[in-house]
Formats: sequence, C-alpha cells, structure tokens
Amino acid sequence: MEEGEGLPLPMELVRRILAGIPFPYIPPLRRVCKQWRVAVDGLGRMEDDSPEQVCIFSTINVCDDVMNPMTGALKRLPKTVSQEKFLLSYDFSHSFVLGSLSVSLWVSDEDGSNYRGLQPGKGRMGVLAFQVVAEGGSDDAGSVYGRLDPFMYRSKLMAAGIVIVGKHVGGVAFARPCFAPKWMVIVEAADEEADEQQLEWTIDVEPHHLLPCKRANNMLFLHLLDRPVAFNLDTRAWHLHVPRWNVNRKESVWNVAYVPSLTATPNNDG
Amino acid sequence: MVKVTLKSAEGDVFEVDEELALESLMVKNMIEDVGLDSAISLPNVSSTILAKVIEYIKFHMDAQKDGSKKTSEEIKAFDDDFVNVGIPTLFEMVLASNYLNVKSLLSLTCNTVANMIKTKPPAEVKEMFTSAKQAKA
Repeated sequence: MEEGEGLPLPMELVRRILAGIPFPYIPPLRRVCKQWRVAVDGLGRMEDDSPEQVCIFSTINVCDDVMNPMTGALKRLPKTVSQEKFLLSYDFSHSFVLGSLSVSLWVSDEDGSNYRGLQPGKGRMGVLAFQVVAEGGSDDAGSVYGRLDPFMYRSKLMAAGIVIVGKHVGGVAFARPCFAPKWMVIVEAADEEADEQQLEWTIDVEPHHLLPCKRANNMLFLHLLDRPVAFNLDTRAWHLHVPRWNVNRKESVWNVAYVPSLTATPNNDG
Repeated sequence: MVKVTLKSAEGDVFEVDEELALESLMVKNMIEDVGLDSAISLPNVSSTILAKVIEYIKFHMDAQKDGSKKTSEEIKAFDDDFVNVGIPTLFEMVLASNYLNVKSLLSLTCNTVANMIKTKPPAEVKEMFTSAKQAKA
C-alpha cells in the first residue's frame, strides 16, 4: 500500500479504532499510511468538540524534587525523546493527575493506571505552565525552548494534543502552531528577563488553533508564574494587568470569563 | 410477532423479528420512514455479514432477556468467538455495524481491531490492511 492510499475503513472508524489504543502505541501508527497519519495528528481535536468544562491550572507549584529532574530531562530531550518518560507534575488533590512527559503527555490516575494522553481531560482543556530553570541566562533558556520545538517532535506532541508556546528569546519565536491544542504547555524562563515586558511574547499561534478558548470571549485566562494574565486570541496580545481571581481548578474558563472586569473591552497593556 | 424483511447486497432476504431489526438504528429509521410493507434494502452489507450481525444481535437480545441463564463469561466467550475471524471479515463487520448503527457491535469490532494492531509495527499493520483491501476487491 502506497503512502497516501486509503485504507478499507473511513476516517471516522480509524479514529474510533485509535481511541481504543493506549497512547504509547499510537505515534508509530502514523507511519501506516497517510490516512492514519492524519487520524493520529488529529487526535487532539477528537475530544474537543464540546468542551463542556475547561479547566485552567494555575501555574503549578512544582516542588524542587519534581522540578529539578524535570528540568534536567527537558535539557536531555534531543537524546531521550524517543523513550524517556519523566515526571512533569503530579498532584493528588485534583480530579485528574498530570503524569509524565516523554514529549508525549502521559496521564495517570491515582492507582497508577496509564491513560492515553487525552482521556482524563476529555471535554476539558488544561493549561499547564511550568518553569524551566535557565542556567546561564536567556541563551540557555532559548536552547531549552529550541529543544522543545514541537516541529522537532511533532508526531508525538501532536498525538498527545500538546502545543508548546515559548517566550520570544533571541529573536526566535518558539511558539509553534500545531493544531487545536488539548494541552498548552507554556515554558517560561525563571531568570531576570521573566519580567512583565518579557511576557509580551510574540505568539505565533493563530486564533483558530485555540478554538476551545476562543469560545470564552476570545480570551484565554490563566495564571502564569502565579500571575493572572489573559491572552486575547484575536489580537494575540497578552494582558498582564488583569484582576486576580480565584481559580477553582475545577472551575471552567467560561465562569472565569464572566468576571465583569475581565470581559470588559480588552486593554492591550502588555 | 411482526416480521421485518432485510435484503442484503446480493439480494438475499432475511426475515427477522421487528424487535431484533430495531436494534439497528439505521433499520429503525428506515422502518419509521417507509414502514414495514417492503423489504429494507441494505446494499452495503453482504449476506454473510448480515447473517453474522443478526446472529450477534439475537444472541445478545436473548442474553438480556429475563430468565436468561447466560453468564457474563458465556457472553464474553461468545463475543470472543464471534470476532475470531479473518481480517477481511472483521473489517466488513466494522463497516456493517457502523452502517447499520449497531453500537455494541461497532464497539466490539473496533476494539478487536485496536487490540490486534496496537503492538504491531506499522509495516505489519499496513500489510494487514492491504490484505483486507485486496480481499474486499
């Protein structure tokens, strides 16, 4: 069967079959044929049809014993991308748990059972911000971002429903549009450049790549580095001076959008 | 008992109880649209596969009836045996259950395919599909 040649099953059935396959087995199936590649790459969209509940995670308070190995693993990504899994964040206080990242996102429940990357977040969009400790300044940070380039690890990232948005460092925009993201991983350098002005990122993500959030008055609200910020999906501008709100981790972004001061005409004060 | 006549792609006629026929949402909709006077034509389902689908629905309907002595192990054994077919037949059953909109059968057949391919390398999966396609042709 040649690349691009269709299989005996229509796409909707291919997706249905993929839905029954545990995540670790999915990425290689991209190589079956063009149809399956499209199906695998589109997995992030499968469960976004009606996100009844959108969860926003504030910046996760990652303790050092989690943060340090994670940072180390991030820096080793080019060599370890194929297999290595490492803990990204784990918090038993939530209804679902962020598991480990091997450039594909794993999610585990409290029993340790592995789910396919998207399953526990079905109908939800998690915004996960984590901190990369830059050793030696922005160049170092940039190299970390570079290694996280979703294009480099596109298949696994896309299959996991991840888009990575990074800071504009050294003239290189690290934001990479992939597809409607299920998870938006925001990488931020924890150095002196991580001030408000630096948060004025050049975001190279088209609004339609953020469909689940676009429905929330075209604004994506999140806590970034424990700072409440908003991202206008139309203008692609970050708004840094938004009132702090109590984000219930189970609260939907729709509720957040109902806060009057946040739904007022956006003021691009980034 | 009201009977429904189903006509396969080859033109073979299957007369089944209405209760059984209604397990297919597609057939149910057609009955609602055109009534029971004429045969329900199913041009996308071969006689072999239609017979299998009827067998599946009948078994599960019987299993769900009050007084059924079928255990969950027996039902599982039936399902396992039911999908223990060649790849081409399995794919035809996937397509037929999707076309006829028999959700439990669609779920069973898709999960079977998923289990078959999940540990296979892409080349083997491709080969599997190729054989299914050639058989269909």
